[in-house]
Amino acid sequence: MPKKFLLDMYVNRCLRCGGCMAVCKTHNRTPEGVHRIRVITFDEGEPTETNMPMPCLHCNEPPCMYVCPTKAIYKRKEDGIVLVNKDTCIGCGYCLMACPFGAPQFEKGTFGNRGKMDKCTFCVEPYEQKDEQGRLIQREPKPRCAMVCATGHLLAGDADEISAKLRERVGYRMSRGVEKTFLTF
Amino acid sequence: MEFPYYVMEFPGYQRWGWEIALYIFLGGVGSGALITAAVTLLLGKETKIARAGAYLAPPLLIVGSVLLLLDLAGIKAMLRAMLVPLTFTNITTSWMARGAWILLVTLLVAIAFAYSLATDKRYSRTLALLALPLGIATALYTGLLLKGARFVPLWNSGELPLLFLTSALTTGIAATLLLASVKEYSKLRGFLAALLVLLLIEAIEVPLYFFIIGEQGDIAVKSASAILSGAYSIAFWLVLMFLGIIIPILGLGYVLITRKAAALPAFFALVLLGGLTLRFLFVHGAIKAFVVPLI
Repeated sequence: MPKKFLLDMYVNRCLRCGGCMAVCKTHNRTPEGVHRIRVITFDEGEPTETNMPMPCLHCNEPPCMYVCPTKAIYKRKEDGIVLVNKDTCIGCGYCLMACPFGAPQFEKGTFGNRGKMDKCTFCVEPYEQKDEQGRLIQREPKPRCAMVCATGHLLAGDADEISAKLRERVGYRMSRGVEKTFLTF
Repeated sequence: MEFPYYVMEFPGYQRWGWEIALYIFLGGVGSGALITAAVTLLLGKETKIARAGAYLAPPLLIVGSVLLLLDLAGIKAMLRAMLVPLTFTNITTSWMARGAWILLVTLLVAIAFAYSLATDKRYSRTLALLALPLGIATALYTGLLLKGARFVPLWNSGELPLLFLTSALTTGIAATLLLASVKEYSKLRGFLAALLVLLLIEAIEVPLYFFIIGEQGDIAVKSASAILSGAYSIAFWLVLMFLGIIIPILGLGYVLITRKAAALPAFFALVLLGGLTLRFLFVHGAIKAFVVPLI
């Protein structure tokens, strides 16, 4: 059984330092206007103010994959990473409308120049390389955002390990009654 | 397991532009004209009006399709998208892929229908029987395309395709009659009555839609209130409701009572303006929901 890859976020650890956004930009060299990870702040100025870095969540049932008219978006079987095939993407923008997390990104283009969809790939690019025998080399995902995250808000790795860590943290907070002071559950 | 989440307005998302709104309008008018022509022909009524509708549908659908292509990534994507059967493969789940197929088939049938009416009329009844369901499918699909993007709450209702179908029929009839420019009242009476009934349905359907959409959550309420009482309120109440629906209803009622058909083109133009405004309101007034999962 190949391990499923998971990137997870934990509320109220993010300081909005912007390290994840910066390292994503520099590592992936995304064009202007494309942010594969963005830090969203809501309830700004309120006691419940929360920062949340939003990469692609690589859903189990990705809405973007279902609405893509050309089957350009696919979910990699071995680790569940959702990728886009830029050869077949026609840039219709339907995935952008369907994604609840704002993961599909398009260059800010003008008339007829929307560009192809770009999204978080968990830093596996190039998606598929071939070795000398023509076999596919699948690169290991290494999300740089999780590597630089100063507070351990972003966690990446094997799904079981991450879930266990997350459960431990949530349990700790719940046991101290901290969770209740924040957003309604 | 149900995860807690927080829904907010999508910060700075790239909306679909005027191309899509105009396409949905032109596709609606084209399919409405096709339906009008097919029904007119099948009922054996005035052939001049049937011909006007049949001639109107293909150019409108073609212009609409070109607008759709202009919204794509670039020249290569446009060329690829023209090869519909090769490109739009995901017909099992994607309404855009289904719609591309529906649009292609409808366009081909519309062209064949127009051609058969222009030359020998041997196959025109068969083609009309084909064109009628295809026209309805095209009009419904424009709504389903928007509904298919599930996280835009303003669009996420089963009423939207029906609303777009009603609007497609009213604008289609109006455009057909505008092009046919038949002056005799006796030939027009049936069409005017149908248009009046459809406009009355639309007059109830359109405001009702914005009230029932509230159940889709806060973002839907926000987009509906922007349209009903916010930035888009003038376009909605003055242009769509008053000029596009109420004035034509009163005007058509007046024409049906007094039997004077002189002012009809103005009312048809107003119906078209209303349909255009409706599509622009739905595409530009929609706010996308942004879901933040909280674990």
